[in-house]
Amino acid sequence: MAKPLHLGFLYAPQSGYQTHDENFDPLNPVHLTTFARDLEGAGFAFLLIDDSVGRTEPARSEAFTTASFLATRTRHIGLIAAANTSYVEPYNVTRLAASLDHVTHGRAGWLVSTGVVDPAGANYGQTAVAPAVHYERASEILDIARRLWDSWEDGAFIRDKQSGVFVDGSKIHPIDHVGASFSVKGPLNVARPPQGQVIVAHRVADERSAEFAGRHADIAILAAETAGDIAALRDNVLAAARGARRDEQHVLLFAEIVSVIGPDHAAGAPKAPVAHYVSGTPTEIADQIEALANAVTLDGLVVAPRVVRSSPDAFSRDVIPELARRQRLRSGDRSGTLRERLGLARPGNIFEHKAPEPASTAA
Amino acid sequence: MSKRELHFGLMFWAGGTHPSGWRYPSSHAGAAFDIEFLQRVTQLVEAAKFDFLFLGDRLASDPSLQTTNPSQMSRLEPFVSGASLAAATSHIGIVVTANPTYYDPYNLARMFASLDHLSQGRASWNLVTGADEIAAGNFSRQSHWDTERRYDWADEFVAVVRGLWDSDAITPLHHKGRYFDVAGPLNVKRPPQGHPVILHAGTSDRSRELGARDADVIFASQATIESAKAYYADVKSRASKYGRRDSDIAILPGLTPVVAETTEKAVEIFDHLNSFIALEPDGDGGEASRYGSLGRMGKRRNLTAVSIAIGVDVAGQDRDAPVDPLVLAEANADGQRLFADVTRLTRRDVKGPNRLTYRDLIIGHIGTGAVVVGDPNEVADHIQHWFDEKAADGFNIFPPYVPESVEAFTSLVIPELQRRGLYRTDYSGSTFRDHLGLAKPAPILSSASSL
Ligand SMILES: Cc1cc2nc3c(=O)[nH]c(=O)nc-3n(C[C@H](O)[C@H](O)[C@H](O)COP(=O)(O)O)c2cc1C
Repeated sequence: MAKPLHLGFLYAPQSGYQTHDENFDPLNPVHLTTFARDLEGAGFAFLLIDDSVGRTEPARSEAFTTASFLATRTRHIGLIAAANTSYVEPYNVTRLAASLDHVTHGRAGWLVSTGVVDPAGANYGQTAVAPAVHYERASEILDIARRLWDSWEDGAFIRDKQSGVFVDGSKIHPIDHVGASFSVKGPLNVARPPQGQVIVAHRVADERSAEFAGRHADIAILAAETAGDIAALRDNVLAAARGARRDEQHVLLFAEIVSVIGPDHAAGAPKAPVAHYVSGTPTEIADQIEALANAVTLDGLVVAPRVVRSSPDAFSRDVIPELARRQRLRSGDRSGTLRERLGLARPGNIFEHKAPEPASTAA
Repeated sequence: MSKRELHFGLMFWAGGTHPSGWRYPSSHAGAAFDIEFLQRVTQLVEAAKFDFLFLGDRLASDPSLQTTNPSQMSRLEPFVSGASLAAATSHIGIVVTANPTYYDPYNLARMFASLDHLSQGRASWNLVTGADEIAAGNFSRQSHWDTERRYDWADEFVAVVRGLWDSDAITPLHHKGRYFDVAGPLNVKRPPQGHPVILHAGTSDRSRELGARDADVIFASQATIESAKAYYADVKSRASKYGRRDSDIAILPGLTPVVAETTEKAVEIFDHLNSFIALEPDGDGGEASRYGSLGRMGKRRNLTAVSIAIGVDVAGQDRDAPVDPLVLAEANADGQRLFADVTRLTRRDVKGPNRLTYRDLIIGHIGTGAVVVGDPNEVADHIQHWFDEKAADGFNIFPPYVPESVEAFTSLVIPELQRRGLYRTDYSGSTFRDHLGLAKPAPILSSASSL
């Protein structure tokens, strides 16, 4: 039998493929709190908070601010906030993600998006840029972010009131990055994140995004219509991971599913351009999910409903218990970091052990 | 016009604003990344009806700050801590420092609009153009821009941000200016406050002009009442040419209060805090050079530097010995001021039963900003004096050690100011604008491109 699945939830109201019911206001902090706590209670491992910097309806708040607010209002659910590498400074976005990891005690992630999927140059004085350029920029920013997250070693803070030594300066490192689009000296001004490296997620819909996810992501979200297409994206991601000399086990593969249950059938709910649809009664949906999981080896599912609801949604209420009954879902400890929950090890620090060994210490 | 009322913010450096505040026995040395602790302290000042919690920021780090300014080395990104603090509070304003020099107006307008919605009208932008030259190195720049360039950029930046807050599908903005080309509209609904409260901090002429035009609150840094009065009068007089009234801008200097039930106890705490400052041997009296000039250049913490400042050679003296009265007699004007200041803070003098020491002179010489040491009445007197003299509309309170100095101020001084009728006993509204007595601005529908 296929391995049990982790569940994530994609929150993207007013994105063109998701809307919300009239009792849910995405800018209302009370509604947001109830919504996130319901998902946490239903057993979702993480909430992906999508973002848009383009011309969308003015209905939702920026993802990192939202995630930081929800950090305090939740206890266990991972909070993965989107930021678009085409329109941010690497130092700023790296700080946001590291800081979110601190305030969530290691539940943070960054959903990396690029200007390819959300062209918004008109708000940034940018003229049209080729997709390849967007991805080159994204790749460079990820390289910078990973080094900045490591720029303070775990043991950098001494904080010895007696001696007055606050930090060990030899454990704080400039990164001296000079690349095609950026030069960033470092170090970061944030302590190393509790997870060491913040979880990086990327949505995969074509070869370019598969290449990026294979190289950089911890979570690849495969968005395609058929099981066969999802399997093909999966193969592309794993090939890219091998190409980047990464352990395949370090890339978790999630399929994005759009669940259509009961009232979601009503006219008006937007349709995603490319997505794996599951629909029908809760039992029928569980059957379809089992079929997908049997056809493609997956670590989990990202549930992207067409409508965000003010009360626990039918998927949480009816489908999750059914999948649990069939032993298709991961259960277990939800108290640790997002990494721990997903079974990913805390990475070592690239700057550690680089200092010259002290001269032989003859006694 | 309603009665003038004090305003208070808490200048939040989690480890304390005193350079050795983190070493104070009850201080939480790891506070900067402990969000639950930050929330508890914020709740403490919210219970005391403070106007705001102030999150300063820097865009670079430097290990060499550990002896002079450890709280400035690293911290949570302020939008992240601000949104987390908003989630644990209900009334207090949340001030996030963001430097336009290294930001983009569309991103910043979205972040503040989002924070204003999530906090239900409590967001505020501390607009600073940046103190750190080395920040340039983290943002793909060769060098930090000079004052004129930073403020030309900031002036247009703030107009674009305001325009975005007011934009919608019908009036999307279409800004085309010297530095920015922004189509709009913003994809976050107009903030509950219309425009989040704008704070500004700076010193130059350009800073004063920006503050007079755009700031609702100015965070000032004058250490003496004379200089604070001059600054206050200058900024308020500039504001009138932008059609703004005196009451439209609150000028809040920083103030470090060291307060206890008795004067003796307060002086004891002040001495205890200063005892942790690492002093340097005599010899070099020049400025302590610091990598990349992050923050102020440090004064040398020794008697050579004191000698240069006061015009009398005291290098090599036993630091624990009482200062010879002749030194005061021979000191220059700066020296006279230094002695007076040290006596004001420590209640020690070159004569009488309590003698000031050479160590006191070193500590006094390296001190920055306004400090008051005393019992609740003395501290309240100081605050009232600055307020009555129009040197301040209130203060951004610098807590030298955290959380105890915050507890002392809120439990000892706030009640005294309330008794005197100078400070609110409850919030009259729920937004930061409400605390400041400012109305929600009507949207500016003309395009910002008229700059
Ligand atoms: C009271 C006060 C608070 C300040 N806070 C900050 C801060 O949090 N971050 C920062 O980068 N600069 C801060 N600044 C520095 C200003 O950005 C600016 O660099 C400095 O005042 C000198 O230049 P200016 O007066 O021409 O702006 C502050 C300045 C003052 C006076």
